[in-house]
Amino acid sequence: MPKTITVLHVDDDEDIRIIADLAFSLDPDFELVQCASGPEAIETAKDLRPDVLLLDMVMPNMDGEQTWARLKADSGMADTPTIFMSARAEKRFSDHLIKMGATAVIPKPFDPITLCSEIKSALKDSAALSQGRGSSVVNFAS
Amino acid sequence: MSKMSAPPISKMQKNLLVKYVGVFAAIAGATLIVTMEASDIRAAFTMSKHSPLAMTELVAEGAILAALATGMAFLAISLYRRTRQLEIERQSAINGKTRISFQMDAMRRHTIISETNPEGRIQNVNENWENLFGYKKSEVIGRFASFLFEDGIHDSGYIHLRETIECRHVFSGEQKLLTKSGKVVVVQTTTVPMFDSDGNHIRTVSMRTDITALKTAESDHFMIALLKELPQEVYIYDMENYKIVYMNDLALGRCGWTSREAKQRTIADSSTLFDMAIFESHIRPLLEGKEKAVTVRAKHEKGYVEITTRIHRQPDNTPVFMSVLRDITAEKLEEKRKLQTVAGLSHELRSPLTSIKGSLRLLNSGAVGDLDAKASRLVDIADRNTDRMLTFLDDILDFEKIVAQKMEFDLVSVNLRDFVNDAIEMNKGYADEHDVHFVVGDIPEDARVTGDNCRLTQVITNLMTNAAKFSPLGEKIVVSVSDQGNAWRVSVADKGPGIPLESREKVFQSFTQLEPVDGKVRKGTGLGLAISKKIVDHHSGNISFDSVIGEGTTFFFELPKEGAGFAIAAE
Repeated sequence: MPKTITVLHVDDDEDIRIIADLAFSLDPDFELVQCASGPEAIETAKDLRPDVLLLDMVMPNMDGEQTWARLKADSGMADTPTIFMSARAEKRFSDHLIKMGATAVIPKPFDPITLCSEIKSALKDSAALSQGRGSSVVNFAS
Repeated sequence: MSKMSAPPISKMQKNLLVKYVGVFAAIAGATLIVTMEASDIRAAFTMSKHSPLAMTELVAEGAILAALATGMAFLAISLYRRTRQLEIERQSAINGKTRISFQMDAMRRHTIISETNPEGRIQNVNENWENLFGYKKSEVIGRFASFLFEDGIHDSGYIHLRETIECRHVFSGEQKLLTKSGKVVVVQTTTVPMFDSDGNHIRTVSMRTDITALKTAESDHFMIALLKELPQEVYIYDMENYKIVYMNDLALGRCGWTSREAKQRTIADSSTLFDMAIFESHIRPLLEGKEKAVTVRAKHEKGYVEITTRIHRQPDNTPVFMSVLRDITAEKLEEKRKLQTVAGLSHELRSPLTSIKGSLRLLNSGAVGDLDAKASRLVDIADRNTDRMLTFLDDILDFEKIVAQKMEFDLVSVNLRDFVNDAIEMNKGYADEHDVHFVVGDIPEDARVTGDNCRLTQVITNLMTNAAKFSPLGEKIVVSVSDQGNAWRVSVADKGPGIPLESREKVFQSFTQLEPVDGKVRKGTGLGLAISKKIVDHHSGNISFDSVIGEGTTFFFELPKEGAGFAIAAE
């Protein structure tokens, strides 16, 4: 991809944000913007127009899924590839998100060294599929 | 029976005759005297007109006559009365005789009568006896009556009866006796030894009344009183067509039936969620005598219940089913809550673990600067142990899920050859770490099972990693599939220290790690095999091991072949 990919990362845990920041710093193709909550993300997204959404699932007040719904509606980001990060291991849960249109679900703990390449390959699959049909089916959870 | 005495009546008649004759004579005599006196009185009366002495004589004669007449009158009245009384007595004696013979006849018709000789052998039985016990007279004549008793000749009831008779006493009491068909009857019995005039025991007569119905009613009444108040639903239904025999108040309440309506229904009507096929497969072990009671958890309209079913014998020995329903809705909620707590905890722990693991990975990769060897080693240790914690969390959650039956199983057709090859590929890293080699053994080409690929992979991985942990360095671990008739067996064979067969039970228990035979403790959560067992159980399979101390262990799990009937026998 010619320009850098702007990733909007939302997670209420500061330490995880630091880890993610270091992870993305390893790959020059990405540009990372981080928010600590759903409402903050909605505000930021209005002007930012990120290429990819990277959302934590479990957050107080507004969780990842709710944040996504609001982003799609308020900020017109219905078509933006969205990747969830979740500590919830259930396959059924991941399936549900994929069915709703998520590009991928990355389980926590994630590997910061491989995070960027994982995201890239998920986006590639998604782009390839969206040329043909609709949603992608990438699930890093076993 | 006793002879009615006729003599009293004839004696009485004799006396009466005498009395009649006497009285007649007295009356005749008296009449004569009166007549004579009357003529005397007439003469005297005529003469008395002329003489006071003759008047006195007249009065005296008159008095005598009056007294005589009165006496006669009394005599006549009392004689009449006596005659009437005798007549009444005679009549009543006749009635009495009639009545007794009528009663005797009635008793012969309605009572159950049998006679034995002093030795105890049956001499005679009446029709009622034949009907009650189901034997024809010809079948029992000459036999000892002990066959009526549950324990025969050694039956304590029979022995007590014989002893009582031998002591020349009457036996009276309740007996539980066996009919020809094996049914038990309860009878009220009076057994009388009979003696001749010299006091020799000549025969014994038993008279019985069938009180089985009464006893059943009493027993039913007691049980019904007990069951009525029970805070659990109770259903009693027959074994033939599951028709309801009894339901307690709670059961009637839930179904919304009256006691009468219930008797017209079957157990299948008790819930719209009732499944006859499932029910019949659940009660099969009862019918086959393999289990005394079967328990199953089910859902009905008002929540979750645990149903325990038994075969119950009624007092007359007929068997019926008895099901007791225990409300476990509260328990289920508690399990759910616990699971949510465990899931919540698991989640809470994963977040900090994400940061820890992420940091360690970044450190070790050199992405934030190089570490010297010692530092790198320490980071490795931290990383490995973080993985241990994560595995433990996963195991706990898996375990709780499976216990609460909340683990989801995605059943698909699994080709065992591909399955094993994938597993070996997946665990190659682990094998290298432990300096062992996973090798594919024999696997039939068409070996297929129905199962959850992911969960079964979890099982084989568990067995393979255990084998790797215990295997001597450089050794091979063979993974193979063999035909076991109606099941496929997946085996993982190592050349480790072995496991004593006495530890077989413990091995599959949760949080248990055995004392290794070679003394070296390996790291593990203690949950792996417990979870594997639960997963295999869920697939209606069987997991176990064979082992020789000092030579090695082969862990294996067996699964029904795809398309085979459900459930294979446990070892």
